[in-house]
Amino acid sequence: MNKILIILQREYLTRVRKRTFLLMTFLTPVLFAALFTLPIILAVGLEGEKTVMVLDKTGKLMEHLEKAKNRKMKYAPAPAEDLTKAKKILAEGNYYGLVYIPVLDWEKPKGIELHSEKGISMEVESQINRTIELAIEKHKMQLAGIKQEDLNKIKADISLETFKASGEKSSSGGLFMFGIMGGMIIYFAIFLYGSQVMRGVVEEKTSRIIEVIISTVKPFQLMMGKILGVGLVGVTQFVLWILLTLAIVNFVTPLFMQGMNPKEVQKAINTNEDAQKMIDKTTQTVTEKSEISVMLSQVNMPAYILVFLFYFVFGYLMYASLFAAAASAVDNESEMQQFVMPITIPLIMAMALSSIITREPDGVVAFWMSIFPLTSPVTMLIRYPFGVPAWQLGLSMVSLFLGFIAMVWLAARIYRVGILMYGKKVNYKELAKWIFYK
Amino acid sequence: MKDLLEVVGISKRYATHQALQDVSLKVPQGVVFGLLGPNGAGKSTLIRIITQIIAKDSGEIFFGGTAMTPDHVHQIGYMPEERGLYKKMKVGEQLLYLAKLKGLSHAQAMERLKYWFEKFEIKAWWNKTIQDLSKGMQQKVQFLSTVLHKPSLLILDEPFSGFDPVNANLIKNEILELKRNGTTIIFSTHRMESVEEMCDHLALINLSQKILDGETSQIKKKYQTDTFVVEYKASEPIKAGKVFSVLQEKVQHNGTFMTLIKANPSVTANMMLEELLPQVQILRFEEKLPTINDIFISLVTNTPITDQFNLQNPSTTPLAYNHE
Repeated sequence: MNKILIILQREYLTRVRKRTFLLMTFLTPVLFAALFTLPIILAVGLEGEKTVMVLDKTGKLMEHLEKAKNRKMKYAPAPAEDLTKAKKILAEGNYYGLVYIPVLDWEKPKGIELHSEKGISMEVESQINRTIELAIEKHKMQLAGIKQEDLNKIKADISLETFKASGEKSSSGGLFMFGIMGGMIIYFAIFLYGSQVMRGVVEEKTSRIIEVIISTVKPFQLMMGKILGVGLVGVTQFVLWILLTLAIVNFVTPLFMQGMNPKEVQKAINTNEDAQKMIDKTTQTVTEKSEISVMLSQVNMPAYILVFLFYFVFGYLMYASLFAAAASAVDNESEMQQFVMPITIPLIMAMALSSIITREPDGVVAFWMSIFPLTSPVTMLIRYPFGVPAWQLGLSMVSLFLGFIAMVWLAARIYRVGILMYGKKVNYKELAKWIFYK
Repeated sequence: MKDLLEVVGISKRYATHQALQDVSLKVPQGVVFGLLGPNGAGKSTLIRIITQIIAKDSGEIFFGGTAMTPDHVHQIGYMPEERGLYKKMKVGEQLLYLAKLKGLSHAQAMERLKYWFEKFEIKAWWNKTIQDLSKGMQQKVQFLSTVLHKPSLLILDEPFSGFDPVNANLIKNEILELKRNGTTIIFSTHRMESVEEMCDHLALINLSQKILDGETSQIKKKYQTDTFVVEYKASEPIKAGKVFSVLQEKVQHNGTFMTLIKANPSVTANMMLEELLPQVQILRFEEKLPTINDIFISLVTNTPITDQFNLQNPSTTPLAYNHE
């Protein structure tokens, strides 16, 4: 059997069988799913309804306030005539808060007070604020003789549809999402699994098994076996994450929500503004010939996946070999940082500049960063959905491939010297020398 | 005798110093070969070149008569000075892995493992991780990993360091058995006295150069000093006589003396005894043989071997010579 394969097998199996791997693999999807569903569950389940009493000296706002639909917040007239009495009632604890509205100058409504026994969160405060503002606006509309229907007629709601020059429907929001997602995945994968490669190299060095292994296999074989093995671990983990997240969101969450009143859930979703917007958008797009499918069709999924795989594989291999070389030059993990930083700078840059890339996917920055092999795995994936000329994509791929070859070669030269070096503080000059050792 | 390994004119230079300078060696098939020298002499570098861990600058290596190729590593078993195993890996799995890397098939490796696990009576260790084993147990596993693939050349760097006496003896016996089965063994050590009794051949390395090699018995013969230790009862220590001179003497606490005498040219032990017998009551009369260490130090310091003999320190374990 090929030695790289034997090494790959060991690297893969020892990691996949670790308890931490299982824990990470199964906990992360739970976290993801929680991220999707917790806001809804929280909104429905945990908080009880709060009543705010209103001492309305204008006598005009109460009717609007009572009608106000608010998440978990009811407005009731205060059973008292003046502020001191109302405050006493508040102290009894049956009310969440007290809104005192003095007689107002409708042009400059000032002097409204909010009292409460406990501290009031920013969110609740701004919610009450907004509700009162709306009530005042409604009252002023009545004063001006404007009817709600007229206002509704005046309101405009457009959502801009964008087209590529070729005539396909395009949606920059979707493109943006797609690009960032692809870039992010590669970014995280490189960090996550690159650091595992690093730890593996340091482990072999500190446990001193390295000399035994190297007397049997070439350093390059060991390095590649390790990098490929860890890479496969990454692929396994990602596939499991995606499957498990989908499974939890689709099967477990509904089960969990079954215990709740569906109307309540719906209400919670409705009153949660973000959720509302999302639902609006999806229902709207689903009805309007499904924007998602449009998005998918314009991105050309199979091509995107192929491009993703290409950049994922070669990006990971390139960076992982650099990480391996860095790890080989030190004796323990704590010394590693000095070499890790410079390696990761291009990657971090690519991610940090992603907003520039999405704003100007054909700009100079985007172009060069998608050609330069150390940034292209992230940048090109962000750019790709916006449409990249074939020659640029080709150039970038060739460049990444050459970069990969060069970096692996370089890394292997450093690695083979580094793994046998102990007790020496290594600097960059030293590393450069190693490259040219016989 | 056929040579299993032949090293011709090997040189290796690191950035700041010359590690090996034109070293040539012949290791005959089936012998125990001692590669001796102080720390930093270049032994480990030479071994790393033979095991193909590092590249040589110049020179050639022949293995079994042919120029060394990468495949030859399968015929070499190597135990480095710094022992090491994957700490969190199970004993069985780990040995299986290392055996496969040495080119054994799964079935072959299992069969050999079974043999050795029974022989060492360590079947219960199969599923233990290395870090759960004691140091001595780890060393046993390490030794197994070195011999599992039945190497024709076994290279052991500082073989007995870290072994307790019981295990050291066990390993010693295994090594001798391997030798009987035709395995060639290279010991590398700076503690020369620890292996000289086992070595058929040896080479001395100092300051990156070979300074001496050959059959142990012939080397000892060559560096014979015609020196004898006499222990005796007398009223006063013996003086130089007609057939010998006195090199050193020591008064022992129970009223006896010990004297180191050197025979004059072509004088036999009998002739010296004839002169001594009437003078003193002899308790012990013994030829003082130089140890490899004595020979080594006399060679590198260019002093007579007899200077190394020291009656004051009867442990006869002189400190290893340090070249710095």
